Amino acid sequence: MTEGFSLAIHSIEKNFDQVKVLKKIEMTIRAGEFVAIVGHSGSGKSTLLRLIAGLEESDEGEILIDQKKVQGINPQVRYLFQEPRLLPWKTVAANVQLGTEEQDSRVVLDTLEKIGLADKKDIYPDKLSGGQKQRVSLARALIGQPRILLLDEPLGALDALTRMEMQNLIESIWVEQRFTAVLVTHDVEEAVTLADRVFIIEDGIVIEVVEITLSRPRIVSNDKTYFTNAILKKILRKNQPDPAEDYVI
Amino acid sequence: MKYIKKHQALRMIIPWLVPLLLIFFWYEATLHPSDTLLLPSPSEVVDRAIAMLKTGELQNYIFVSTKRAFMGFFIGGLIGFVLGLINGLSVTINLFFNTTVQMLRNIPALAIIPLMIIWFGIGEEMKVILVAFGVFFPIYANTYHGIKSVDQDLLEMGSVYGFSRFSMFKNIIFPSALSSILVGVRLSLGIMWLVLIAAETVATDAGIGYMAMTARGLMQMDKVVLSIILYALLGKLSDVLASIVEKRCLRWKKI
Ligand SMILES: Nc1ncnc2c1ncn2[C@@H]1O[C@H](COP(=O)(O)OP(=O)(O)O)[C@@H](O)[C@H]1O
Ligand SMILES: [Mg+2]
Repeated sequence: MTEGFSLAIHSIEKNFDQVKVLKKIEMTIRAGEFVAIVGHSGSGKSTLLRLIAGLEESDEGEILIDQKKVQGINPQVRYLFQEPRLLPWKTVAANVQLGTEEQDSRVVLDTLEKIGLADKKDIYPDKLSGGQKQRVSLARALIGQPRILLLDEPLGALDALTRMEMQNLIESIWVEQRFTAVLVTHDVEEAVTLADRVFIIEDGIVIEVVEITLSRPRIVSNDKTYFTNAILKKILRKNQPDPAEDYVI
Repeated sequence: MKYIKKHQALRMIIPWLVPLLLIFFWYEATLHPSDTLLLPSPSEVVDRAIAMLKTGELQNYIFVSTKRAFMGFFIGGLIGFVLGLINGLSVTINLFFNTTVQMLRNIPALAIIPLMIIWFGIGEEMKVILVAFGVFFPIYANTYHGIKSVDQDLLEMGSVYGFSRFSMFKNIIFPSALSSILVGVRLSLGIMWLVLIAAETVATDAGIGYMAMTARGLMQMDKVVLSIILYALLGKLSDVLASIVEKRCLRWKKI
């Protein structure tokens, strides 16, 4: 079992063409923690993940992974994109193989078994459903035993049922492997289902951190509503008048 | 439709029905002996083919033409492929070559025949160079286009997984450009025969075009028709070859 790495984000700023997308982002994430980031689209969530992954450089501030400054791509950090991004000309097994230097085919098969697609190993991605493709993509990310897994709305394109199955799968693998997970999602309920803490980002800063104190697994928990509503209220606060105000005479 | 889909044998036979019908009409049209002066009957052409096979003449002509065609194809194709590759991969190199290539592209291969004859005579070089010139552009353009249209998302995935430049090329860039490259190959195979036929007809001392030209001089119509049929068969054969290669390389595509 691998332990996750801690992740510290200090005063991160990022501009695109004079526009400040991220302004002074502060986050401290414990090793092995599962956090979610929610916020309006365009609020800079993907940009933040790309900075953590080393795909882009920040203009100000620094990001520390396991107390070491991020400089470029880090093999301990894996990124699950919204689209599966599988190579269509490679079989399922060969796609998963891309995630590791290990040449032992046993390792690939083990990982495929974990995500329940061992019987599809020789099939081309074309023949898989959307959910299955995303699972293969997850296997590719996990086979290298990453210390940090970044998930950028990976379930956004899936139907409700498949999405719940995937949430279950991601949670069970996280419980087993204990990597640090950072999930970006626009689905507040998904954030509440999976995360220990939820960061709300707006206009490039963290405006609120909500601790989710529910016991796991939470897929069918009724208590999620409380947290979901609390977070939604904070996200929607700015754009909608407080209903109470309407009654003030 | 379903019946046809199920039966492999039927699918092999049906495409040949129309050619068979054409041969039948041809046969019909030449039943009157007076007609065969301008259009020989099928049996005359077959007899001629058999006679020429016996002397080894026919095999020799086919061999000479095929060799020219494929030598030109490999030379022009290789240059087109390599240039398409490096122009697609490097913006700087592209800046150097692209304008030149675009200008060369507008010259029809047949337009340089006079120049080639003066420089190289009517020997082998002239025909091989002409074919190479003709097949160069489709392969160049499709290789270039294939590389330029690689999915950026896949490249980003590759960099997250720490792919080296070579691994990026081998796993992502080349396979994704391959279907476009093969479209170029298929196009060039057509152009290859076209240019060769023209070159062999203008000036030559061996090959199928030579056979047609000498036969024309002697009014041996059966030989003229035979050479046309040979070109059709060779063209079809190279297309079949290309589609086999395509099927093998692009197995992963949903048919
Ligand atoms: N490479 C880029 N160049 C210019 N602007 C960008 C680039 N990437 C993102 N942006 C801009 O930054 C803002 C935040 O984008 P993003 O991080 O993708 O938001 P989110 O993931 O929260 O929807 C958007 O306004 C987007 O247009
Ligand atoms: Mg995004």
